[in-house]
Amino acid sequence: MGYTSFAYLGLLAASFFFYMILPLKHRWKVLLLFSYAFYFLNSGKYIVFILLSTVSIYLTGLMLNKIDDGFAVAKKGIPKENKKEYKAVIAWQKKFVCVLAVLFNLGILVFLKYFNFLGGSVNGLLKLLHLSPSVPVLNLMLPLGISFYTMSAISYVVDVYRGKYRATDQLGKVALFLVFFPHIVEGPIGRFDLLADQLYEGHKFNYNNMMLGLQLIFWGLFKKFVLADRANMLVTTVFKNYMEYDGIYVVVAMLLYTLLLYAEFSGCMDIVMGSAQMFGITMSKNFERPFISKTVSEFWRRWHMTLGSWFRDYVFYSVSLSKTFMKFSKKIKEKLSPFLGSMIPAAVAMFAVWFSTGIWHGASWKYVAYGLYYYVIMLIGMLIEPATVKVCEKIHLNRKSVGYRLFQLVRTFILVNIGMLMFRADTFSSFMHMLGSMFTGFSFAPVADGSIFEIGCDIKDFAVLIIGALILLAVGLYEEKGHSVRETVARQNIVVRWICYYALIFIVLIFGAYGRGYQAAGFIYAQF
Amino acid sequence: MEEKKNRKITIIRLIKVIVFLAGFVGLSVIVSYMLTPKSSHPESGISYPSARGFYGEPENTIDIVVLGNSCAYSGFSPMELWNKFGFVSYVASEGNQNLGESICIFDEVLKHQKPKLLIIDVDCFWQTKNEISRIEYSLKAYLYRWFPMFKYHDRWKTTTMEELFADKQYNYRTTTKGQFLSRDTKAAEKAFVMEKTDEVEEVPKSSVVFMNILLKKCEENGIEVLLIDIPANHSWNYAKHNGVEEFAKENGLHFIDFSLVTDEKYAINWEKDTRDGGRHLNSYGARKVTRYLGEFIKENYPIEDKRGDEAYSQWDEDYKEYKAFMKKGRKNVKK
Repeated sequence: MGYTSFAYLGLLAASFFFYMILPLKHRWKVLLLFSYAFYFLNSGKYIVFILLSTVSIYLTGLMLNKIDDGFAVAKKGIPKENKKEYKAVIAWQKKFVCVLAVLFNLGILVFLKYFNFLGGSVNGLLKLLHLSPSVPVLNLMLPLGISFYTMSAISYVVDVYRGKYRATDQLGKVALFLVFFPHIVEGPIGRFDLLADQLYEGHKFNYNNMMLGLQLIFWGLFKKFVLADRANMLVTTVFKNYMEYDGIYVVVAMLLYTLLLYAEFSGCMDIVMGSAQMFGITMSKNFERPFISKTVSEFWRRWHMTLGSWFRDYVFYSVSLSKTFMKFSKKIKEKLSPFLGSMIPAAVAMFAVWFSTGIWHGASWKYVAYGLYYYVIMLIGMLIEPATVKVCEKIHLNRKSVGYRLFQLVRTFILVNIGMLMFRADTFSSFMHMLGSMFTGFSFAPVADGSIFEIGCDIKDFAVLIIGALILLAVGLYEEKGHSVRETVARQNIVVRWICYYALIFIVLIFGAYGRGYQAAGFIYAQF
Repeated sequence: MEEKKNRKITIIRLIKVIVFLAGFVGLSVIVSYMLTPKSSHPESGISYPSARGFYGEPENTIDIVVLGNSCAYSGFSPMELWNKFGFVSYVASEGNQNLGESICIFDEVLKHQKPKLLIIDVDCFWQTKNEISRIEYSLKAYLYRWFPMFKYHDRWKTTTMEELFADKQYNYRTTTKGQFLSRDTKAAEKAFVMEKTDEVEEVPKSSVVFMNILLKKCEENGIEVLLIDIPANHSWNYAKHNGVEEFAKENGLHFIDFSLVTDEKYAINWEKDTRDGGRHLNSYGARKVTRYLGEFIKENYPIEDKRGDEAYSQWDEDYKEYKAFMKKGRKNVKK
């Protein structure tokens, strides 16, 4: 049941109806019931894994509360000289409980998602050593949204451990936080402190929320149906038969895939956020106009933002702010140089982040390479930054000039597109082949003789894609200036407003690539 | 005072929503008309033109209509039935036709024809992977009927300004009468033999609901219903057979399962009678199914033999084409 299916829209309408007719204090139960129904209809018996995660983090939270409460009471009666020792014992207990919960949840994910990959890698290694493979291949299925809800689950446990907030004693609240049906498939990765109360407290019917939510859902459908699914036709042809294509075919397929992925993922997020907004719930943003980024790091601050912030908070800080690392950093600063003292620990922590980001996307070495590709680019950027500043000063190049910014935009866009090519290619070697083949036999002849219009997208499809991409760009630039398109439209008189609404709806219905003869681009992040 | 004001706002908003939705429906009707093909010829872009060839036949001349998915249009031959028994039939089956679509196309048939017997290939009872998608696809069929824009939205690419508001002229006629003719022969890996079991795979609930609608329509129009299953080795089994048999018994219908026909004259030869390794019959397999079916219809239903009737002389001409096609013999295709 995808977000664009009638079944999902039916479920959303039904849950909205029941949510609004029940008394405020019971409304969260409607969300929980429909979320579990959604999960069960999509995953069947695999629902047991999310139930296990729910119970495990709920109990962990209670245990951490208990330890904290015990300490608060006990520390009053402990002599001053023993306080430090007692505190250390408490800290150890909390750490033990937290680590256990993290390992349990991570363990389920690693086993289901990575067992065969790790086993295959071990077997490959054994083969190299002329030993017979010993790790069996298991027939494992991934429960819906496990990569997303596991991260939410871990964030809850770690936040409680770190004392960011107290754990809740309401199991329903934890359960709803993990399984809330709009965000279970592709995120955004929820944080308990930002989301749980909103989900749990009943929201009154709000006409504006309903209308704005519906508008956002249609905007998401525009991205998905008109752009992603249309681009998918050419993208699938070229990537599936990559040996047959080179030059401009590969360049166009790469550009269209970038458009596809952005339109599909951000479109899905619009549907998710629009669905939540109908209930009066605000979810974290996952995209903020990523293609106007001037650097790759900025791109990743604007692309899949909840994933980036999760890795920042729970991997980067965990590594770089650990006692061992602080000591290590201090030593380097003292013995080598202050630059290296800040650089090396950051580089190590970043490696952990980008290795994890890569493998989070999929159990294959290609995704590891994908993560490390961005790691290397960012590392090089950090290393050459001082030199770049000096060179620019020497040649009197203003780094804030329009020309330089444009150069940065184009450079980032190219680097991101290469990353996308790697992301979509079946294997790392097919990526290398496609990257190389772009430069062999490159010419505009396929455009001139029309052969590029015969591999999935005809000239009219291209017209729709180009106009659609320009609309996205225009909306993006407008919003970057701090405006909101939806609010701007809402301020217009009823005639203009309704023309805009009808236009959006009929553009989706007429120019959407759905129905017979089209192969929809699956919700790509749903498979992670 | 405040409450009164709020109530007023609510009423205004409600009116706005209703007017907006009414506007949407009105615009959808207009756009649907504009995008619907105005001809039933294949080049018009109409969905399954061959299944809609009954529009091209003179009104009220078709006595038997066959519904179902690709198994039905591959495994039933109206021309064979005409030549051997003189029964006038048409296959209004479509690829992956679900029961919602069956109902919709049957309604189209009823506007133009007055059939006496409806034959349903029960393979479509289990169309698509699960109950939710079966309901979804069937409801979509209704949506497409009310708002063809959802089905033909892509015609913005091919339609012309003149065509947008032109009148519909559905008169495409085909000599295959909806059958998918194929001489291709690709043997199945092994003969499809159903293992007998007492297990029952009940007809899915949603299919029962849609079948009840179809049966009611037939009852209202005095049309008899016959259930068949045309052999296909990938989708059929004995438990389903038992399920359909129960359903047929409950509704007082005949059911012929061609996978259980053992008479050498009619039994499917899995080496020669399939065009794609057992998923669909070729026209030689269809000939066997149709001949058996013809005998059964002759014995059980009051369908007239129209051979020799001047009004059907064109069917004799059409048969010549079919005969010439079948005479060419089987064409082996790669394994």
